[in-house]
Amino acid sequence: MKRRILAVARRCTPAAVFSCLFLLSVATVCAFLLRALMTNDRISSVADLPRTVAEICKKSFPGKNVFVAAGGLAARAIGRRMCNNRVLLRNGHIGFVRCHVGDVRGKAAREIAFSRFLARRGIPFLHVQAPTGLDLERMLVSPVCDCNANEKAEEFVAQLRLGGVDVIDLIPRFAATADDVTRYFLKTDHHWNYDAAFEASEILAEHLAEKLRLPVADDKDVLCRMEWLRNQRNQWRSGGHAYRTGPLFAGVDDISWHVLASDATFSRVMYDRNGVIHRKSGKFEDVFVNAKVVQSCNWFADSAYVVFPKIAFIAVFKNPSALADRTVLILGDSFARPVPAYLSKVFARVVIVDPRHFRECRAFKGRTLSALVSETRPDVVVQFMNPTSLGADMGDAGLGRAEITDRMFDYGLSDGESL
Amino acid sequence: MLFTSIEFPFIFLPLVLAGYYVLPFRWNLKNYWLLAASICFYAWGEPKFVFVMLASIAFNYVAALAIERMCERRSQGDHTTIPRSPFPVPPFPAKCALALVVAGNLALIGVWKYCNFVTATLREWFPSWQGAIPQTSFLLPIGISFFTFQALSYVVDVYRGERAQRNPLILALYIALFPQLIAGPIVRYTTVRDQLTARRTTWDQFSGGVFRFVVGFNKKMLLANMMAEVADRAFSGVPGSAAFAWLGVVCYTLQIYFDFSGYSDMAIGLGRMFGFEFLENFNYPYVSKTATEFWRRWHMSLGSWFRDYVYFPLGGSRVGKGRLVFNLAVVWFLTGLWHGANWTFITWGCLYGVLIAGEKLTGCVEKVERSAALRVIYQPFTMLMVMLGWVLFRSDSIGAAGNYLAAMFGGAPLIDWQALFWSHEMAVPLVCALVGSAPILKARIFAHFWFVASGYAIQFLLFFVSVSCLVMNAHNPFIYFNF
Repeated sequence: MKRRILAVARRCTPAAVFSCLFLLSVATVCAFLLRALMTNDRISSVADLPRTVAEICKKSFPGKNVFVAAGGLAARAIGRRMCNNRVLLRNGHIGFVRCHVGDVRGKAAREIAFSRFLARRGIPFLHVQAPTGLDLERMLVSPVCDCNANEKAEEFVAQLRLGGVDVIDLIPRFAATADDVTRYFLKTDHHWNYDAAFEASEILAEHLAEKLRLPVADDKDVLCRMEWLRNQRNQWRSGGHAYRTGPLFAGVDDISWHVLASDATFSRVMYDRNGVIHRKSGKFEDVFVNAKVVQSCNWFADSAYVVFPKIAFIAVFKNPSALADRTVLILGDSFARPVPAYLSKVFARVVIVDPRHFRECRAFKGRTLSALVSETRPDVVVQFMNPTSLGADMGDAGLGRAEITDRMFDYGLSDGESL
Repeated sequence: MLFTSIEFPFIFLPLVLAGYYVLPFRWNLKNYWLLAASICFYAWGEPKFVFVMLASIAFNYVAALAIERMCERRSQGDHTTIPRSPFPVPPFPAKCALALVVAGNLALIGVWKYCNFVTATLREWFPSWQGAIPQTSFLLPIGISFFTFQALSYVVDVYRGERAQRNPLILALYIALFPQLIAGPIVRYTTVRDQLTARRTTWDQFSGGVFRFVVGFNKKMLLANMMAEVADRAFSGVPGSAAFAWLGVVCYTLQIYFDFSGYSDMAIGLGRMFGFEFLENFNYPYVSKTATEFWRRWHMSLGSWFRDYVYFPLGGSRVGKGRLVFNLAVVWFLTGLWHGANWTFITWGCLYGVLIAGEKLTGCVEKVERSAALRVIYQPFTMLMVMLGWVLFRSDSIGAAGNYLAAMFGGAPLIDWQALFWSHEMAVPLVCALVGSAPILKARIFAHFWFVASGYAIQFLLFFVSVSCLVMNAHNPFIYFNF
């Protein structure tokens, strides 16, 4: 027996132990991936197999976020400020290495044409230009960052104003607070936080109230700040989402959001990719706050920006007790995501559409934005976007693709209508 | 499919290994399983070009049998030895057949790899011919240079006396074996002939293969990719400063070494896992004292291929000086051309032709070996030439290379923020890469058990970090992927 043990021990060379560990880890991952592959129903032919396997490897890779976090930690351990095409900026935020916006005149022309299309139908149009935190204060940006998004957005806004479009430009307002970027922007994400979105919604609500002549008392702001409770979750752990850099590279975010202190009953209708309608109704928190996400607070959760629900296609929010029995249609990117939550106090119906993706929903395949306007019959249309939706060439291949951002300005107008 | 994609180490490799070790060696089942896996491996990324490869295999199989018959070689039992004379005199029909086979194989590369370059060059040099010469746009089948050269070496070896492989599937396995299919090393048939039909994998061999694979994986994912971050930025336009230009070329020098040697390590490691012993392809080339020595340490399988199949048949060094220079010019022109269809590669090859010819004519190699003083001067000069060669290799055009070289030697400000930022950013990876590119860790002191055990532990940890980088990164090709 002793001889056998010694014989086995002699064979346990470092190489042998290494091989066993390697094979064990590979076999474990292989089992997970094969299971994911076999339960996938999208493989219809052999030609589909490579694409599907690649997709599963990317999305269902077991412990994906653990690996992302490890990668971020390894980068910091060797003193790097760059990881996964993201750079740790001087202000402690992470930004894209490249966030370069090209020519904006063509897109401005299309939006001007759309505003005139709406004007002919008696529908007011408003463009709200949100800032991105990436290059808000150029002195704070790392020298390696090639980002001109806010600068190009100002140029875009100037073109819109020349074309007679009503614009709210939020960039100067938030640029004034650039010394304390954390106050309004997430550290591990290019989005603004909900404090910024709330203030932007206040400005928007005031402007719309004036534009639509809504019944608001002179001594009260439209959203009535006193009626909102501000919640905060400190050190909300995030960073593993979407192959970012993990919580160990640039730290984690605090998140804050607002809940309306009201007994009103809200409702929402959302569509999934297959066109299936999902309805929900209840108090403000039931409809607008993603409680599960807030409570989970684990190291590998989603981005800190998903307290309010993600609107990939189209959503309709209703509040029968709203200030005004009016409908606002928002054409927005992810920066517009929190806005319906705040505007629902004012407007009985808030419809929000993401022009980049709504046609991917089966229920809206082939539809145009101009057709949606006709169906929705809004009292006002608001285009709400951040500068990167102008078509930024961003460091991450998954974002800012030209054809996606171009859809922000694809209104489906015929040549005759666009004149 | 790449070795450094998630699906290779975590789906493809485990399945192939499992099937390989479950199947018996009897009836060549293991070999057929490997062949099927290799064809799937190639077809995964090139579903149409896999037929080009199979056609090449079939053509060379028939050609080798025909040439053997013409040479009237008879087997002695199961083996024949290579004749004593390296250049036996086969009959004239065999020579003609060989010429046709060589032409056929070169035509395959010529069409897929060089046709676009030739038509573009002719249209540029002779604008009046543009109407007569259409611009072609052939796509390059991955690994065509490697598997074509392997097939060529097989046919020439048969012509020289090697026994042709009777089983077409075994020949297909030799040419298409996935570890070395798309980026080498170029494996000679004689080195694996016996292993193809009779091999046993010991646990030590398998473990060694696993370790070698992981080392190569880490080299590629960590060192090569990090060096690429700087090199890609430096070579994307004209560098803003001389310091950044030099940093860029140093990083590219290290990138290409770790990328290619890492891939070779993975190929050799994978071969060992299946019982094959491939020859080494790199031997710390950046410690070379002369350009001649550099090419005895860099991509050794390619260098020996050109030596045995081009240089020696032309007469080698046993000729007059004029003929020697001619032989070297041909070899290095072809070496440059093999690397790519661009004047930069040809110029890069010719640079080495000039250096090596100069060393041979002056007897520099022996002098440097004998004299430490000369070594102190010549070794840095060799490294400088290697790095300048990489500028040519990496640049998109001769003009771009010229601009880059100008920036290196005074055509740009001395230093800029990019040089400062990236020097700081790459400090640790650069030190690790420089240490890894020299045989420092081969010193006897590191042979102690605890150093060895620590080495394994560190490599396993680094493998975890490499997979982390893989999960983060979307696309991760090898530099030599397109050869």
